[in-house]
Amino acid sequence: MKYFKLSVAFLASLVLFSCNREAIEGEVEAQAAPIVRLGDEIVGDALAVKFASVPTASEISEIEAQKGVTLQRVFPSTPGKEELEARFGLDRWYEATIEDGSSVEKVAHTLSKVRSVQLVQLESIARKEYDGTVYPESSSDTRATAATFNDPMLINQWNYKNGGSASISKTSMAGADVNVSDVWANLTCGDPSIIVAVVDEGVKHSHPDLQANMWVNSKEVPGNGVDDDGNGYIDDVYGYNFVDNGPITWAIVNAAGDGDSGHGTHCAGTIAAVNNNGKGVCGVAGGSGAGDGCRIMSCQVFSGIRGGSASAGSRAIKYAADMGASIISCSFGYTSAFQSDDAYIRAVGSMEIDAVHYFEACRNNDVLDGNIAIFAAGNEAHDYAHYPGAFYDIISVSAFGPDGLPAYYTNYGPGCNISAPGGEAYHSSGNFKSMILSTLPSELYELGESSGSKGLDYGYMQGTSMACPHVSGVVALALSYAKQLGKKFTRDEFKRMILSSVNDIDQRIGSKTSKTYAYGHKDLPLAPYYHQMGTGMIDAWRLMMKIEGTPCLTATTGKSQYIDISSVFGTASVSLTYLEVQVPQATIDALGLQKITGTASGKYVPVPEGECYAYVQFGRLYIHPTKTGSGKIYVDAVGGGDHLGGGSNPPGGMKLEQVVSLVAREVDGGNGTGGWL
Amino acid sequence: MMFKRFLIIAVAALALAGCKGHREEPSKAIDVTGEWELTSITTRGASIGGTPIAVYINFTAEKTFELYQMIGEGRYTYFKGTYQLSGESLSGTYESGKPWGSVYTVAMEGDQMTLTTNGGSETDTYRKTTIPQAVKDNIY
Repeated sequence: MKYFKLSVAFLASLVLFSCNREAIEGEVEAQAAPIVRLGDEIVGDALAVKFASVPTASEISEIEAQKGVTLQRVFPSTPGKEELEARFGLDRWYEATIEDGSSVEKVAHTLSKVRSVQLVQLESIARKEYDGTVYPESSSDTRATAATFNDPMLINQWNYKNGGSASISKTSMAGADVNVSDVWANLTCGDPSIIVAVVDEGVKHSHPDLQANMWVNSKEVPGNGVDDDGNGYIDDVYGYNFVDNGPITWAIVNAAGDGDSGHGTHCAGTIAAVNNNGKGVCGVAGGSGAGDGCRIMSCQVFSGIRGGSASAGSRAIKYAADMGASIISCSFGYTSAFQSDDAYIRAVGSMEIDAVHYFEACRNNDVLDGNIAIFAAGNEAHDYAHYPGAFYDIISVSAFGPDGLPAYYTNYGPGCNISAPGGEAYHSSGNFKSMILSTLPSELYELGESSGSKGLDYGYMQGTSMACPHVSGVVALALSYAKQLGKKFTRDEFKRMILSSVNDIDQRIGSKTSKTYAYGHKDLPLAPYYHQMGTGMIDAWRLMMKIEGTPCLTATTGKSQYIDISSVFGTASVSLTYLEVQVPQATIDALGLQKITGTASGKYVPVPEGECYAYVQFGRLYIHPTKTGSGKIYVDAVGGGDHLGGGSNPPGGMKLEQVVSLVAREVDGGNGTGGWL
Repeated sequence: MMFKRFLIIAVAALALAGCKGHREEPSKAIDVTGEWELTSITTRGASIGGTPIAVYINFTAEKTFELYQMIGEGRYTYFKGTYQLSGESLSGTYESGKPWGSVYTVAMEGDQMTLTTNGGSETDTYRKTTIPQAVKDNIY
């Protein structure tokens, strides 16, 4: 395909109407169908058409003969999914390939006059939501002894466990991460039945840190040139290349050096790079090293300097739905400033949204009655999210840096639903650790012949493109854990759980005037971001607790404190008799609990003699965490009376065994403490 | 003659006034000790919007401070540490060892104190108060 760059002014006229509309037979004239278009780049030799009803073969033939186009269904039909395809109109979308050399605008006007045509969509080009900056990583740091896994670069993945190290960034804040390490250690590392489709550049499926977690279409024989499984796609073993209609590629670069960047491979690594394999990096849902990672499906919609068309993206999304993906991770979007969902539909058309809604209606796991789509919010520091992620029922992800504050590039405001680590270049050149470290195709990044180094498999990027796969990975982990527990939820219920499993970002934003960014030389005013970063910073542990049904409370690091547990034991918690407080060693370690000494008082005496890691008194849980982390504490109380009944005891109460989950975080202001001053 | 007496008295009065002024000069040195309540802010006001903010600070004569703050709803967050006052320049360190977010320039007027951030981008105004016991009891 080729692309025409047209004037922005002309292209800003989003909806074009022609005066008359003709039946294909030519008897009836009617209003022309709308023509929608967007941006300064469109596909130049094809366009999409949505029919008002499923066209007959003779209608198709007649249009093709009269209009100089070849019509082909955008979405191949999948046996057993016909009803669903019809419900979302996927059976009415056709791609019209121009055969006679006419301009795409002329053909669009011609087709718009066909009576059975409901909509003509000029295919806009979406963009990857990152800034194009890539820093390959050649070093293999010695792993931290306390790390959950043995992957040598995990120590530089602050996005999973941010200890506030100055080696990452002078302003890094402990706990500004997705809080996944305690999930790995105690709950789940993934499940191979949960598949995440990376709708992006092709994923390097032979990457040493990805290969074991790649989804494999076992019904397809690799490289035999045959559509073995009959799904309409030849040799789709690890996914499919929807740009070139062929094998997945990831390292196409032209003579000018433009082309693939490793964007898809990077996003895939964040979702599910293989954990605990002694190599490179970790992925959020990359398993424990025992083959239990979530799987990555590569749905390639960018290839070299090409790709990003609405039809390729839409086909890719339907493919993901039909081939078993539970999540699509879409780090792309349109930069135009749409003011509403309707404006977006008028400009871009509904093909992608139809495909996303189809995807979310499909059921590909044992947990949900549907699937989850996740998009990047965009990188222009706009005060609104880019579409398609901005659509009201699609999750869109903004980005924060290792300082737990909005990244300087992130979009924020309306349409942005939640935030995740996106990285942020901060230090002077030579230190990129404040960005996101993940997998890269070694074919693209080499140190040069003089160094004698081989290609580099890892590197740093930044963007909401990098934030998006964090949420995708956390959702994949959550589906894995829910499956492990045998829990079931509706899709919409699960979305609400995702968006409410967050740590607060606004107190930190609100307590600081500005932040330093861009290599330490610029000042970013923070006022515009207050309450505009979605619901907050995604927290994997909190989402797992929601799945369990375990109440999750927040503690503050660095001080002795009490936490009100009335939300766990009810309003009578103040006067209950507490029998025992158990603190597992894993919790002591995760939160760095310091020993404290209580003072026994009255009959409500769970306070042990001497020092302990936690006690309850008057409905308050007393603890002293010294570091950010997550864990559980088990509290037993008596429900009804001041002692347990049963046996030879006088009538007494019932034992109330409750689990209290804690997430310890710094309540942080701009100076790294949280204090106002 | 009458005029001369008046002149002498006037000169004496001026002299006395001058002496009084010299004696009072040391008392003009800034003293931040006491309990303070935040009453207004600049700059951050725009970002806070309608969110209630409550901040109380107790600067002790021993150069320690206690800080109670609540941004939004909920309970107060409690901090403590040490401070240094050098002329008009007020700086401090939290108990954790981290410095305040800024060094402040202090100005006093009556029972009001203003703290202006280094660079002048923000000025917060406090008034002398007694920190309510309800605040001290309502902390995390």
